[in-house]
Amino acid sequence: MRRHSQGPRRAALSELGSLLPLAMIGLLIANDHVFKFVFHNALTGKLSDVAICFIMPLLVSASLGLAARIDLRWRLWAGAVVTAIVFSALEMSDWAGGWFVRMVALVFGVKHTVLTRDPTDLLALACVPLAVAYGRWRARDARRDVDVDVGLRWPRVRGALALATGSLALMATTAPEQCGKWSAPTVFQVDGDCGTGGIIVVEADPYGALAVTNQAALLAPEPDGANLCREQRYRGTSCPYTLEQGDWDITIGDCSTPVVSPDAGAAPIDGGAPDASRLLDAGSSNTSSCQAGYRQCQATVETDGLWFTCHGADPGVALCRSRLAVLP
Amino acid sequence: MTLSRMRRNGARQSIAALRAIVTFVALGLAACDDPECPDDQFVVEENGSCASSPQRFTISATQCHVALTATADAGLPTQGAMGPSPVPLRQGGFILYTDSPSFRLCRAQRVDYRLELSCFDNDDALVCQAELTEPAF
Repeated sequence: MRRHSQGPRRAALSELGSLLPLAMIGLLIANDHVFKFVFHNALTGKLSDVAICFIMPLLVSASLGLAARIDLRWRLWAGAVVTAIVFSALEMSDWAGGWFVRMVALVFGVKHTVLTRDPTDLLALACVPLAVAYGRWRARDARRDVDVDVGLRWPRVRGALALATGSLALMATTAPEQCGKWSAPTVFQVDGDCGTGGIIVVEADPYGALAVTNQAALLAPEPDGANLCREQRYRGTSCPYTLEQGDWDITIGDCSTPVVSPDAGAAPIDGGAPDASRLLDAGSSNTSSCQAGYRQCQATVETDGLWFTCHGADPGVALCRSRLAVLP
Repeated sequence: MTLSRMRRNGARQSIAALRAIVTFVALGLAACDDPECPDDQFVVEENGSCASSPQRFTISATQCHVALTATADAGLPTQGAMGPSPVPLRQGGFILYTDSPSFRLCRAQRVDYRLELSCFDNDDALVCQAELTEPAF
């Protein structure tokens, strides 16, 4: 009798404890907390959505199966409907998005959660029926194992693990913040050779990504058609951020292994006027591993104030320098 | 264990699960806003040299970011942010800035009953000034 009452609940955990749901949970965690930081492209934007739409119906179904004796088919479709409604609402409704952000703040203490919305994310809903089909297929195996009572312990343990980590991973489906406190934008007066000079406004989001208003004053624009990727990030450890203390950089283009020229140590980094032609040729002369136009620029406090210095493929040669003064 | 007792146990667990979900949802709804910057919004009238004629729009603060619903006629940037020591929106202490069509930086400060905005260009030269007042309904 006892086995009769516990069996379906055991099976509910077992169907979640198989390899594919665990792999999807692993993918969701890795993508949200590693891949999005390292790559930050369209693929990382979609991977989490695919994983969510596959995991969530199975999690809801397993939770229902644990809570009550509900027929497998009904609970899987209930999971599918809940997933479709919740996912669509978060993608399309400001109210739902705001509510989710509050929940995340309440449960994890993470403020300023950013939900990235894109209508094409709804394509991931195609994974929902796949999850239902997978759940039914796995449940048949799990139920057979329950009937013969063999090999059940590990699938149940894995299922419980998947239920716990999957639920947390779904809630924490945004990368952890670098700084949850308010960091006001900083206004700088720029004088130097890297851009046209003038006033810029630099602000960092809770993840450390920078936005620069009036960027041309700081950094000469890329040549037309260059289409180089750009990474702008605060690297310091202060929270709130202290942009006036430097520790932030802008990297344009990609350079996998910068090559140091033999005379790198003799290169002047003295604030003097750089050779403009070298800026245009950056990365094209002495290495094939850097894109043409590659530049890496760092804001660093020196003895006489905050300086913004750009290097090309050769990290020992300054291409240009600009002085940054904070404006009140 | 009888079938009816099993059903009762199942129903109790379902009700317990439902209670947990309802509590979770209620807590989520009751969660406070970010206390660092109180969210606020109100309608203002703009006068001064930034707009060719008086304008009316809504100014709002959401999670320390400031936004105006103003059109280009207002001559003001429509996005900005609170300063390092945020105060309620009506107290000023925020900046507005934009790249488009050209760089503008406006600093807001509270003077008497109004917000005064001073706007500067790329060379930190004063371009225009605006006064924002709440209309009397």
